[in-house]
Amino acid sequence: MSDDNKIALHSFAALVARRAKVSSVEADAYIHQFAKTMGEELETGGDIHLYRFGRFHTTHVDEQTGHDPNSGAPLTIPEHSRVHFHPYSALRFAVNAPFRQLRIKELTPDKTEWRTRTGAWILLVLLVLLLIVLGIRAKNWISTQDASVVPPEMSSDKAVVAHTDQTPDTGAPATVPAAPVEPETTPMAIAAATGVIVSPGDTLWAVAATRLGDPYWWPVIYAENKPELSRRNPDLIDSGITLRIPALAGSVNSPNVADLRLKTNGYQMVADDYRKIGNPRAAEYEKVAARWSKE
Amino acid sequence: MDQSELIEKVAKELGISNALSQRLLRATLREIRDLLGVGHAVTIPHLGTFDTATYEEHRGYRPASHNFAIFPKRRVPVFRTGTLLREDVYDIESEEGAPT
Repeated sequence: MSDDNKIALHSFAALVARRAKVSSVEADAYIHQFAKTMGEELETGGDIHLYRFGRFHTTHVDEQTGHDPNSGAPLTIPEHSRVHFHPYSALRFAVNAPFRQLRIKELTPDKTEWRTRTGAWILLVLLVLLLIVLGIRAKNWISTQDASVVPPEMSSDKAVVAHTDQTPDTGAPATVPAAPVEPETTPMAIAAATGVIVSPGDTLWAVAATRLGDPYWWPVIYAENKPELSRRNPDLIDSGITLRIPALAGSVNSPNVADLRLKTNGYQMVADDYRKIGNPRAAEYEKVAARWSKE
Repeated sequence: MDQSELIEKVAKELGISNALSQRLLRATLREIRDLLGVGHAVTIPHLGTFDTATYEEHRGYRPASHNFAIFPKRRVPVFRTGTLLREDVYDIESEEGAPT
């Protein structure tokens, strides 16, 4: 608003001439004619639209009363037209360039602002997908370990029963290997199959865990020793008897077909015996046996 | 009035080609824009003054958020009508003085 930043007309004309590559006189004449034409147009009340620059337009102002600012005397302002200039965004942005990086600061931060951001939604969707994938994987893992839901309880109550067994044959002197006794079970049995003497507190679960390496293979031991187990109850074994541990062709972590058949038979046998004594777990063991036999 | 009409009108008045008139108009507008961008003011005779106004940081109502906000410092282009044009447009006697 001060005069020190004003550009004189002849220097402005020189700048325009250099930019348009014409002589300074031509530019000066052009600027005068330009202003004159625009003034004429505004006098007739028309709008002037200049591309990427701004729009000039006039508004009509009715007659109104005011007062002389010097004398305070009332004054009637006649009706007239008024020229307005509306700068377009290209001009506004060019002028506001020094303060372009400044932003409007909300006094009360809007907590729902993230909803308008696409990145937040993408992140949310990815998170949900990740959770779904994790859930599916966890579900698969649980169903492969299906038997794990049942045996720990069973092992606990089996342990209790084994404690209260009425055959207090605690003085079993030594472990008698069963392999020499029954070498004809499988050819591989000579090497791996050994006997285990059940002491009070032992469970098929624990025996399978220590001797076979995986407690979920306990029905295999049960099936192997079924003729000796007179109680016909998978949850109850007498202390003092010798359990034969079947030899696996593979290992519990990478069983081959024969081992899986053994396991299936064991689970089926356990399910049958459970059903005979009316144990509701029969259905679950049946289910596991059915799945293994399908595979 | 459109920009092309203005170009044609000025070209006819000055007796130059439309292309030259357009080049000069573009040069004029861009020169004004660039000068305003570095903070200068440009006065065009019989028309008015293109100037810039700087608004300090202030508090104000923001309709988009229906709330008050702090508006940052900004510089805007302003146009002040020249006295000669004002008298023409107001259509009043110059000795009375044009109302502001």
